[in-house]
Amino acid sequence: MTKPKGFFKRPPGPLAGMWSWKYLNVWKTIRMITSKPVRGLYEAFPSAVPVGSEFPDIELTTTGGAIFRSAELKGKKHLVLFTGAIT
Amino acid sequence: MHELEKKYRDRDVEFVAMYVREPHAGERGFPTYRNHESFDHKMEMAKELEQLKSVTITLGVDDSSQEQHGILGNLPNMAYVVDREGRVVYSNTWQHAEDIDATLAEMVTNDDPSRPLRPTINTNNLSGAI
Repeated sequence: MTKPKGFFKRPPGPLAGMWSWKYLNVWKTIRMITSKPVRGLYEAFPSAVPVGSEFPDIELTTTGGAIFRSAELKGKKHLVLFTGAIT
Repeated sequence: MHELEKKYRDRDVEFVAMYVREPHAGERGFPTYRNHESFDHKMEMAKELEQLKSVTITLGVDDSSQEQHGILGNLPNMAYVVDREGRVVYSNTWQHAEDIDATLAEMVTNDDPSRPLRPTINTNNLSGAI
């Protein structure tokens, strides 16, 4: 895989995933992940679209300007959909 | 995810990354990033992400009301695996590549037992990109 340019590097050392805290506002993050609304999102996640249920028709605009519709894959392909952001 | 996409691209598996809200905009490591102000701003930042992390997987953007993201659970790093019948077979609040690999390996092996695949992803060996 091509190494990303101009992006932060993962520091070496056995930090077990805690390396990213170097880039965050630690207290804000702790407050956020322990807050009731955010905890509520994680607690509600298993019932949002449960395993075994029908996946909703998700429509997204791709960076190339096309429209992606998850329903169009039905009967054709499996789908792995994941979320992410820069920060 | 790129490693997984490469592994499964010829086995009828579509990978889609959904660009969502910036959870740490303006924090220590990201002082120049702001929360999205409009759909165009969100799309601009999605394109920046695509360049920064050399994203080759389809990258899609939700509308600025985040309706689609909300339907799926509204979390920043969640993952779903859906079979070709449109049924959810795996979901998690975090993208555990090993679990997704194991799920996909089983699915594609069931599709075509003459071409079995085994889980091979070990996240300790990956560089930590999207």
